[in-house]
Amino acid sequence: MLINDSVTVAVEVPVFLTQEDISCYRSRGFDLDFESDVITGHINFLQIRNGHIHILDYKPDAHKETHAHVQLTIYALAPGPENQPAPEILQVRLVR
Amino acid sequence: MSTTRRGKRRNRLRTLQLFQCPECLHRFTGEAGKNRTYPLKLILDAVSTFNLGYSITGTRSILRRRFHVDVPDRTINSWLTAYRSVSTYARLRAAGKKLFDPHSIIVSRFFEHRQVYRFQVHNAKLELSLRSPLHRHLSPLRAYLTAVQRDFPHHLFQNTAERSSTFPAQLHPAIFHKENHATRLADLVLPSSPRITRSVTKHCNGSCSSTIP
Repeated sequence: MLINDSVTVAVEVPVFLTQEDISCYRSRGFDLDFESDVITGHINFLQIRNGHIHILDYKPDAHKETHAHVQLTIYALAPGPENQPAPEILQVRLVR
Repeated sequence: MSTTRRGKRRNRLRTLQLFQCPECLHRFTGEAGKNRTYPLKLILDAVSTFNLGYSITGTRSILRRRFHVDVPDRTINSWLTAYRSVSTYARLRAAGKKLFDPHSIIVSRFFEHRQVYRFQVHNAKLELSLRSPLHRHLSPLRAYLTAVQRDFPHHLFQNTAERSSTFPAQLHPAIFHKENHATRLADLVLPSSPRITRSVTKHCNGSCSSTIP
């Protein structure tokens, strides 16, 4: 996918969300009701498409998955507000 | 109901496992890329090698080295044509080739976090995407991906207790379901991976289905 499609720019991208990042997002109006010093993860596929950054996470058992939207939301908030333009819209799409 | 293994079918380049359905006694193969002379992995490797920026002749010699099979240029060309619709990098390949040679087009790093991750960046796509006025506002992403390779707090990933995949947060974003190019490409790529096992197959025109062990 990284080699053959036109939009995937990186794979297995490490991201982390700190307490400062969470506070910063709250100050920008995001309603985040969780606390943690650091949350880490790895984005399977990072795409640039139609003016947006798209984050893909493949789930082999997608039909049983109940936590993917939390994981993807955290990925979307990372890599921290100072490293990315402030998101205005956050949409999570589970693609099967 | 589980199928049973019933021998192997050998062709010029592949040995395929045969299965038999216990209901209708139909024998079939569970392998992807049926009715093809060359293994699907080799075909995908050919398309990928070409898209890295190698010529068809260069791709041919790389395949010969990797698979010990001499694939005619015309056959490689036919695969490129057949998979052009899913291999959308084909339209960017010429521009990408001018920016980076095949050896530097993808940067790859192994990170030993809680497990080993292979982080990779496609330099040509990143540059070409961010040149577009539509994507110019996403340029901080380039700085982040560069920082990951040079100056990055990897210790956080080895010590932290909270991982996004198991983090117990209550979030309720709007969720949409759809089929798109990503799922079509996954349909092509995932069956060629030995780690992916297909649990159910249909045969006999879909009249019965059984599980492959």
